[in-house]
Amino acid sequence: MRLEDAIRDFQLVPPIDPRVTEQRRMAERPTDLAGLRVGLLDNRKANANVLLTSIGGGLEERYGAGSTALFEKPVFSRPSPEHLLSELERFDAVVTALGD
Amino acid sequence: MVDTQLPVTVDECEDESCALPSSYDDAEAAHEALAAAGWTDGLPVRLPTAPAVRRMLEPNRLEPEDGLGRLPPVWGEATYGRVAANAVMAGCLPEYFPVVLAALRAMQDERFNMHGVQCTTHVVAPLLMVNGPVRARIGINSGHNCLGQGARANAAIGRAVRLAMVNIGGATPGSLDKATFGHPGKFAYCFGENEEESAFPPFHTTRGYRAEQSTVTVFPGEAPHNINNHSSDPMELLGAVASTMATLGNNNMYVSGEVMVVLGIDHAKLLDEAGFQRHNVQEFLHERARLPVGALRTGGMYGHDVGRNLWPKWVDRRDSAALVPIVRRPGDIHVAVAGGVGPHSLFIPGWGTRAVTAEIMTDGGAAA
Repeated sequence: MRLEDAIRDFQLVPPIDPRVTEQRRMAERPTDLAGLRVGLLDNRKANANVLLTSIGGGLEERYGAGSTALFEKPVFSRPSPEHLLSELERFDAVVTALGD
Repeated sequence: MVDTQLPVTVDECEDESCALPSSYDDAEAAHEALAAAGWTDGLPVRLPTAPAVRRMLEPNRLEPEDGLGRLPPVWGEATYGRVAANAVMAGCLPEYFPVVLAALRAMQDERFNMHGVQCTTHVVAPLLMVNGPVRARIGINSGHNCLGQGARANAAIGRAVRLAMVNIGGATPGSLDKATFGHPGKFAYCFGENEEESAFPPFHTTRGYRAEQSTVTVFPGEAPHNINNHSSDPMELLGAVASTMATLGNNNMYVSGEVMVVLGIDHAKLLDEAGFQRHNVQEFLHERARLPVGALRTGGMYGHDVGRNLWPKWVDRRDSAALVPIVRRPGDIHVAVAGGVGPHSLFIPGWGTRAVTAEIMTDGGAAA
C-alpha cells in the first residue's frame, strides 16, 4: 500500500512536520575563490581553530581568497546565535569544522 | 522520504469521501507504509487515525491546531494534533497525554538544550521521572522493574516523546541525530519515583513543587549503571556509589553539569536509619566522587572545556593531586528513590546540561 493511500483510506493524521522530510540542500559552491571573503566558523571543540586557520591560510595562498576571518561559536553544543549567523552572512563563503 | 502532499489539519484527514477499510490485511499494509516512510521507531505502531487522535485530544480539552511551539533541530511545529498522532502510534491512552506534553514542554527549556541532546554523537536520551498523584491514577510503575518493560504507561509515554522528537523535531538517526550508539532508553525511558516507599521527601518537593502536584522531570542521561551493594554501613554504600560515579569516560568529569543517582528503596531506608537526609547523601557524593587533575589529564577529554572553567574555581589545575568533583555543587547530584526490594541503586551520568521539572496539566490547563 502506498503511503498516500494509507493516509486517505485510514484517515491518518501524519505524525510528522513536513519540514522533517524536506530535502536540505547544501549551499551553492563558488566556482572560484579569487578575491572572495571567506568566513571560518570554529565550533570550539579542541583544535577546530588550528584546522581552520591552516585551511584559511591555504585558501588565501593557493586559491587566491581575498581574505579570511575566524569566528567562534560560544558553546559547541548549542546552535550559533543569530548575531553570529548574520555576521557570517556578510561573507561570500563560510567553512566550518568540528575539532577533536 | 515522503514525496506526497500530506494533509495538514485533522479536518483534512477526515475526508468523508472515503470509506474506512475494514480488513485486517489493509491495516497491516497501512502499517507497513508508515514503517517504510520512516515514521516509526522500528517496532509496530497503532495507526494514528483521525478518530483516535480526536479521542486523545478531546478528554484533555485540547484543539488539534494549538500546540507547544517548535521542536529542534528542524523546528517542526508541535501541534497537539501532531503530538497526539505520535502518542496514538506509541500506544498512549488519553490520560497519559498530559505527561507527554509536560515532558516535551520541559525539554523546550533552554537549560536542557534539546537541540544538543537531539544532535550530539553522545549516547544521551531524556530520562522522564514522574512524581505526584498522577502516577497512581494512570498506572506509572515506580516499583520493581520500573525502568524495564511491562508497564504500559511507562512504555507508551516514553515512546511517544521519542517519536515526537524524531517526527516533529527531525532528529532522524544518522541524519540529524548523530549518536554514535544511542542506548535502549531511546525507545522509551520513563519511570515514577517510588514516593510511597521512599525514606526521603518526594523529589519534586526539592524543585519547588508541593507533594500533591504532579510533575515530570526530564534529565539528559546515559543508560543507568547498576550499583550492587549489600553493605549495612552507609559509608561503604555511598563509597561504592561515589566510586561508580567518578570515572574517566563520563562527560560530567570534564563539563560538570548534573548527574542522577536513583537509590533503591532498601538503600534509601538504610541511609535514613543511619540519619542521612537527601542533602547529606548529596554532600557525601560531592565530596567523594572526585578524580585527581593528573588522572583527568590522561582521560582524553582534557583541554576540551577545562579552559572554559567548568570545573570549580577552587580546583588548583596546576596540582596533579588536586581533586575535581564530578559536578560543581552537591545540589547538581539529583537523588531520587525508586524500584522494588533489593540491594541495588543506579547511577545515571548526565550529558552536561540541566534537568528541568514541569507540572503535568490536564483539562486544557488545570493541574493533574
